[in-house]
Amino acid sequence: MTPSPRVSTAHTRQFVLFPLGKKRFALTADIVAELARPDRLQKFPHTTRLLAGVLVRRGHIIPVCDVAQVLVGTDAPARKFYLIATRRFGRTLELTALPVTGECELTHAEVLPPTSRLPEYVEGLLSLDDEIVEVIDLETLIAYDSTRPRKKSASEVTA
Amino acid sequence: MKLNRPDARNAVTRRATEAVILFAVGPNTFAIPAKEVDEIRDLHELRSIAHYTARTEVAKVKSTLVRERKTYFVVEAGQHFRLEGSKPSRVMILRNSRAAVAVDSIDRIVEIQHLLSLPHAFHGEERRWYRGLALLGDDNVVAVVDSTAFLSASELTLVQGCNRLAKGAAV
Repeated sequence: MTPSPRVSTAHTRQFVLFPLGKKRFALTADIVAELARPDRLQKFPHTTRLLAGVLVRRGHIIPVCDVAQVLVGTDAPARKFYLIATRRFGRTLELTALPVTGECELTHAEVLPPTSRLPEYVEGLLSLDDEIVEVIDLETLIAYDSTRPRKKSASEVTA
Repeated sequence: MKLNRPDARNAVTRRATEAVILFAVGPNTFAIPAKEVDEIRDLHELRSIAHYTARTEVAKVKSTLVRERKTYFVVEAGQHFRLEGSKPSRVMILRNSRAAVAVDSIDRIVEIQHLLSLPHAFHGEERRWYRGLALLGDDNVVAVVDSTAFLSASELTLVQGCNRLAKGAAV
């Protein structure tokens, strides 16, 4: 993961930027555990939406949640890495692997409020040098019904 | 780059070594505790009740078999797990149950060291289907089935009704 040269201030927070095809999205760095190289995805039958299977890392079983289906649609390019994030289930913390398509970047930035036309899983926007990046609320995203008509992304809204 | 790694290990639900039978359904391998299987048979002597269960909530039960005057209801594992392309060739008769399970093949018996709880991220029907996950070797994950989920009490009542209809039609 590449650290960004941007300077942190009292108003900025730390984010991990991750690519899915041509777009990048952001997760708050607090919930990101690591970026992992590809591992063998193992599958077994289940009925939970977005879950693609599990990885075994250091003897632990980590569910893989393919959020690209919601964020960029079904034609997302091949995912090369796993961004491993922490989810909370009651009092239990659990790791979840999110497939991403390239290297991630650690950055400090100020969060701007989302526009009302964005999907509810977008909790804010980052205005970086030449792009607007959506900050994703992972729990809202995973619960999001991807069968609903997709709202425009931040770049489409601002265009 | 490691940022923040909480202690988010899988909970171990059972530590003692346990013998499990590995069986295949379509491309998937599952494990069932060996002590929960009474007998493994081929498909001879099955009697179809598919006509009577087809449009019911127990469509996954397509046949019965009689052993020692007791009727067992044979659950198609492929339909139970919502898998396509299953071609059953063996039936596992479950111990202390009225259910038997039709599976594609029986692989082997192995011992598992730990039964890991299913990650909380899984919240669908799989929470009922599986007792947990086990690691075979260093990194092969296998789902350990909950044998009681193949035929619930309400499903048993329903399929017994279908079977009575089938018997009535045969007289």
